[in-house]
Amino acid sequence: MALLSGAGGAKAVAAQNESRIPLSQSATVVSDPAASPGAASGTGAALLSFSGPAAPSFVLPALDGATVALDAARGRVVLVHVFATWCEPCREELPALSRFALRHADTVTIFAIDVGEVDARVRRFFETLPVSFPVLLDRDRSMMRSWGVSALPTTFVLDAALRPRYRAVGDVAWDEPAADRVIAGLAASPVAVSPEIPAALREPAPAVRPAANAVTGEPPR
Amino acid sequence: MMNRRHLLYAGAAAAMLPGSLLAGRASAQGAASEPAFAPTPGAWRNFQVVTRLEILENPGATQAWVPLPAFTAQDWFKPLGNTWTSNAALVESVTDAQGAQMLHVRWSAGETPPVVEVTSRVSTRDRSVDLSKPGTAAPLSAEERAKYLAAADLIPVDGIVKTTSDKITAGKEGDLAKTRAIYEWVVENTFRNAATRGCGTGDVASMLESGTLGGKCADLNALFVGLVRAAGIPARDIYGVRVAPSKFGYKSLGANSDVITKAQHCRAEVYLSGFGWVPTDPADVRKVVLEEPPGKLAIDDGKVKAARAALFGSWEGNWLAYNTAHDVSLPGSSGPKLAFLMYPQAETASGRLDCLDPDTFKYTLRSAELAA
Repeated sequence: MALLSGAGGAKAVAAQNESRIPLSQSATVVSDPAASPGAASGTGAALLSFSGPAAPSFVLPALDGATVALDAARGRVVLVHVFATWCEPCREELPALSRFALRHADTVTIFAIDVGEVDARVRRFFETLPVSFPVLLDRDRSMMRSWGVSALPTTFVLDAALRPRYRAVGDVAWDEPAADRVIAGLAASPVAVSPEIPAALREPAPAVRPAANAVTGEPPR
Repeated sequence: MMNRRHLLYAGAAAAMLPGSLLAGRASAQGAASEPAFAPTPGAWRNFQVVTRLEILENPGATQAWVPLPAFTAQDWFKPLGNTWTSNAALVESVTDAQGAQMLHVRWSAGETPPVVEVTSRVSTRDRSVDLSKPGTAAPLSAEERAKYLAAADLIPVDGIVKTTSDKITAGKEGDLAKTRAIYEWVVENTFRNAATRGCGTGDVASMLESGTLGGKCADLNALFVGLVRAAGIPARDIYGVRVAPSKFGYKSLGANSDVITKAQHCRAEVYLSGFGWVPTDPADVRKVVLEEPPGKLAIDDGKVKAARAALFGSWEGNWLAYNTAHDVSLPGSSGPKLAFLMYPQAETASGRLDCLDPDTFKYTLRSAELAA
């Protein structure tokens, strides 16, 4: 075996900064949990309703090697769940979310998006905790930033036109009827689905940013 | 069910009551029966750390990055150089834009098994800053000050970090009082989570938003650094590894074997006017609480009190410092940045390996003390 050896002598290598998508604050909260009859509360978080423009699209690699685009789910209720395997509330929430996915398989598409972890770590985690939805990989946190996610887990519920209609920061009790009611309400609502617009012609969508902290109810920052 | 956030702020309020403030270091060590934890600058100690890395899975073209001790502080830490051997096609010492020095190693496809062994030597000793009277430390340059006040990807200094920092420091006058208040708050409100992999992730905003303030050193000390920076006071994490047992008898605060593969540890410093860089380590206080035999000590246990008093202003020289960098780009990698570089890293044709997974990515660190 040929050996290469050496010593000392640091050589500076400049790192390139990632480009970042600035957050928009254009979305607004339209109700709080108490005022939202369909709100689902969990151990620490409630699904809060809000309105805003269409969520930023994403195309992400999946754990199984596929490439998944948010736009492909247009026409169905979509649940975008942002998490990480190191996050304790996330780990506690995933089994219930998987059961929820099975209950609503006919009407809901779920994308679980792991942020900032190496694929191998995520793959090993789900070997012992199989789930019923695709796991996508936001390796450089770009999706997390563009959606204005600052805490894990965070879940968005989108209508069939991919407009964000609910958000929860923290772990939601997906086995509770309140979560089912949120989905049933959205699935029953007639929603105008916008025709597909080629990405090159589309205006950059502002980030989804609710105006209140779902855990604390604190005002917008 | 009680909201975690409520617990968080209840704890914060308790921590700020005058009666719950700590006695000073002198009183914590004053009674002969009390445990002693009193790092004091003295003799320098030299250590050698050998990092050996092997890639076990069928790799194709492979790269690895091994952190090197690049941190220098004339009064307590001096790197003495690195040597290496490898069967790689290319080995070079490189430094990323944030100042993290590392050995970058490239193997061609078919070079099996890829192996690199790096030997680093350092000289270090205990630190202690007398916080009762300011010294004559030169102020930071404007550039340095901006660097150590800035946000990192996982350590924002606005939003919930800023509002939390403001609540903790409300009514405190001066940087020393503000920093001490944040230190006490972190000690009071966080917990070491044994289930956290490695040293944690350091996602400060997620910790505060969720109210789950558990983790390990990279979480708890990053939280401290973020809160201090948000208060307008320069601060930094220093990423490194423990290299020797604690001479004060604290099993939880030392490397108790020559194999230090899992002894990585980050500490924190704050820059206080007149004092210069001041050593702190609130995460190690929580480590004493959880791990110091017999384990799960009370916050008012004598050993905890002694460590808590000492670790604001001093720390023990049984630890090697790699770097203070956040958001590290690995040269030659197309993968995402690392929040910090404290573990060896590697990539094969199938992507970045899990630096915490010994099944596919085997590395060992061994430490030995050398004659000074």
